[in-house]
Amino acid sequence: MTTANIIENSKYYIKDEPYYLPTANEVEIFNTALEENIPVLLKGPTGCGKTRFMEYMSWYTKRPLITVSCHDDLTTADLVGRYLIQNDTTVWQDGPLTTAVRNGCICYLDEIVEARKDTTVVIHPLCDDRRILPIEKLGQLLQAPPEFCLAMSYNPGYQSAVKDLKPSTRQRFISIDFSYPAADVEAKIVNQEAGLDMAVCERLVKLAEMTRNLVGNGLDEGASTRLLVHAAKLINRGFEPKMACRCGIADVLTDDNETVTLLHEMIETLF
Amino acid sequence: MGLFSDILKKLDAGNVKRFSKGGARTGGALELRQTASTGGMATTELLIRLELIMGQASGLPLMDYANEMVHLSHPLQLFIFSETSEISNLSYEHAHEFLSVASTALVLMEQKQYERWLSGVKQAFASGDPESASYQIKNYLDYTSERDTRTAYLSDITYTLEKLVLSIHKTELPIVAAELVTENKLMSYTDDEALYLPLSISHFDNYEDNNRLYKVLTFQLLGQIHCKTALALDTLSDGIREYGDDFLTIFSTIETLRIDQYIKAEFPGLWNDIVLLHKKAKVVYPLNIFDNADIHTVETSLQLTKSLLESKLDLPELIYQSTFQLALMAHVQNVTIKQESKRKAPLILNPTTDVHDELLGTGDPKTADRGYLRALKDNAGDSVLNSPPPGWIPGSSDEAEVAQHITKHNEKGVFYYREWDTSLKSYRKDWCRLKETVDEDLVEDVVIEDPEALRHAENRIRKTFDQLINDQKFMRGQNDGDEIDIDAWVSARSGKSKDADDYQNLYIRNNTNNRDVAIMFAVDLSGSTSGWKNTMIKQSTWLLCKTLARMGDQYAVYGFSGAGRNDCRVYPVKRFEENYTKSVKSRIFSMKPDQYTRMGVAIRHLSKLLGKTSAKTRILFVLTDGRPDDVDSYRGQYGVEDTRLALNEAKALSLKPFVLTFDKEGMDYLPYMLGSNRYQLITDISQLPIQISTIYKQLTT
Ligand SMILES: Nc1ncnc2c1ncn2[C@@H]1O[C@H](COP(=O)(O)OP(=O)(O)O)[C@@H](O)[C@H]1O
Ligand SMILES: [Mg+2]
Repeated sequence: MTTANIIENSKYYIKDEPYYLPTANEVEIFNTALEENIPVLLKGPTGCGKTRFMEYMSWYTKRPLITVSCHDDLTTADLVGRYLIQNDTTVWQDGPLTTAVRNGCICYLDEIVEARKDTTVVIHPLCDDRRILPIEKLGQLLQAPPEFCLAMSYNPGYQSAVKDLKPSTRQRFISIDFSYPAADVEAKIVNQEAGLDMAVCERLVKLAEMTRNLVGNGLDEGASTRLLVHAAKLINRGFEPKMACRCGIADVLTDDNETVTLLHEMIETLF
Repeated sequence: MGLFSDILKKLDAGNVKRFSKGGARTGGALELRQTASTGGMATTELLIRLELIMGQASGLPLMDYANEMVHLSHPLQLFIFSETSEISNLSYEHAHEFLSVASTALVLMEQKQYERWLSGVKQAFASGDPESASYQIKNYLDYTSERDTRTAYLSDITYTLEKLVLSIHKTELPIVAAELVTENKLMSYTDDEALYLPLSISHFDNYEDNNRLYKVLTFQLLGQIHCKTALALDTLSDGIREYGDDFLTIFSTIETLRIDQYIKAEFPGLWNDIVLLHKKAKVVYPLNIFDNADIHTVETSLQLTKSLLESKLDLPELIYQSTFQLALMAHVQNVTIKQESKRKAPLILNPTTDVHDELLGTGDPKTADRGYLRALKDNAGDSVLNSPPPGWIPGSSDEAEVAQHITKHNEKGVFYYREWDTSLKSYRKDWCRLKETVDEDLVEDVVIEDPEALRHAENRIRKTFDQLINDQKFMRGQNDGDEIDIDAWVSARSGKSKDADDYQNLYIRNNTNNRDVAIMFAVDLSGSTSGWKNTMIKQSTWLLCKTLARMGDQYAVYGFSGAGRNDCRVYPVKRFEENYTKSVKSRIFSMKPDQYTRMGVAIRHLSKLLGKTSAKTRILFVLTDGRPDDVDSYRGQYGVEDTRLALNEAKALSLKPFVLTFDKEGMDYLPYMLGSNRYQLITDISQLPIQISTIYKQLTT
């Protein structure tokens, strides 16, 4: 049996500083959580900078980042590892979580509620004082080094009561709120990401705010920062602002004709 | 010869009858049944009601009208009654004129069109022009075609405007029809609690510009709220006292220009619309009027007004200028000062506001066309509905009905659903009022009569379900999985030809939890399920709930019943997020036969709940003993069509509907309602528990 103990440096390290504009004191909170070995829960709607924040923190703390996108077919083995068969013998292959524990990485479980509940129980012993990862198949208890850190993201908005985090999972974490940034901050982000004129960025943010006011009135979720960046990039490439907003924002948000028309009307009032 | 032909005729008749019976399965019999009952009132009942409104000895051909009306659906019949009695309060003559065309007209028109037609008639009355009212009644055809292509109607744009306002203002401001047009001037105003706009605009020669004008008017009113125009009240009334009405006139224009500045800065797109309107109306716009002042408060406007009074500068006439009224401003100020949370009735009264006012006073976010007309309709309709037909007295329960409207939309556990009116071929918005009711008096100690038989059934169900679980548990020979499949490994090694493929599929995948099922049991609790049926339903539900827990499937059980569209009920027995507990058990055994079967609304509500779960397979399981049926016309074709639409809506939410019925006639309408393979008839009711589990197995695998 062989296990890879050291991961390739280049693979999981983030070399260049990612652009991240803090919206509150999330950087400090995250650093403290790291020092205190407490896992972190990033709570917020999609496209508001959670992934970007993790990349930034990975660069900032000089620790490699391993991201797992959760889905409902994700098994415990997909996280922890499994035996593979090679040349008539079996070989153990670490899963991403095990790799992260062995190498003291930051492990980021994106959209954790998408994973089934029986899958997520493996993180429980990692999240309390013990900080161990039991690898049943190997009969090992892996002790996490102090550098190891677990973070996961969670969108409380659209999940139903059925797909919610269990309190026993929830109560092991420190939670950082990732709701939409304040208007001026958001405009700055869009401006920076797309290199678009500030005045237009402000209008995009205004459009986003208008859509966010409509949540529950035809929209499940308002336009995210990511969508604004997309629209801004289109505009920057010479597309007409109205057109860019329709393709980049309105038509992405919903398929319902009535609501699409309404979103187009909104765009018409701003551009 | 005569005798012979008679016999032939009889034979023929017999044949026809038999054919139509045979055609039952293809839907032919359905049609027959439906013509027997259109869901509406019969001629006698219609006649009695017409006599009540128009008087018995009126000498009018009421019987003819009744005969025409009998082909309409129940809601349309009620609509005619309420409109007739309303018009008859204004003029008996006109009511008669209306009756003579109503049945024909309503069939030809869509809801929107006839609402416009009648509001046109009432407007004519309100402006003291009975001739025009009579002309409009007779020329209802004008409203059927879109002959007038340039006019923009408030009712068409209300939804968009309201949502647009919500997206900017963050709270809902209802959009309401303004007082009637006077001297060809468009009236638009606000009291900070609602936006009042003209019923229709035909100022420009094309629809686009009229529509544009609606938007601009709306933003002007929003601007008034945002720019705090109402603060001008004191100075303004002083000014008027000192300089006369000129002061208000000038102030109105100046203030409009100031709000233009706000729009220009905040909504450049809409500003473009305003510029376009200027061009069309050939307005010379004073661009620099606000240049000197840095901060444009309402004070700036007032000062400008004063200085302009002296210089007599020509101000442009702005078509989109709203109506500024001291009374409204005073109202706004009062509200702001008192910090009232409750909404007050709007100050401006118009001749038709009686019901209207009460609606607005309650915070009912309904709107002019959609709210006002419907409110009248609803109230009148309900009063008809709630009293027994023979002793019906018009308007007897009006007050109670209004009171009910007042609590509308704020009540907890109350939901409103649309309903399909097949005679209108359109939905009636918010037509059914559904309440989730938790039964308080629960059966504490459940006594089971024949435990031996039940134990047998339980064992059968368990076996069926165990098969399901075992079927799923291990999938051998997979190319990926949690465990190594030793058998596959051995057979691959011992295989003669060392085929590389054999070495690919050496895993066992544990699929226990891949079952991702959510099921909603909708149990018909109508009165007809009493007795033995009810006992069987309860026992089956109980056994099912008990055994389902082990499958790990998400499931919920709701009973449904009700009496009339304002009293639709669902009874949560077990919600999705609940586990099976003792209290679920006692709720199951507390299910008792209730009243009627308004199936559409129940399906809509329960589909919504089921739609919120995230399972891959979502089943809506309806257990019923008969066809859709409710007191107020919800029967025959009307009920079947609405239920069919509700089931289609469920399918659109990617839910799988399934109906299990005790109704031997079910085959007449179920194929039409559901499509094939989505229903089953249960003949031996004692087999219910076992049948359900078998069907369950079929549906979920
Ligand atoms: N605070 C921020 N700083 C920099 N970029 C941001 C910020 N918030 C959002 N963004 C932009 O939004 C996009 C989507 O963010 P991402 O992190 O992928 O969202 P999610 O929350 O779904 O993980 C990023 O690519 C980035 O352009
Ligand atoms: Mg992400």
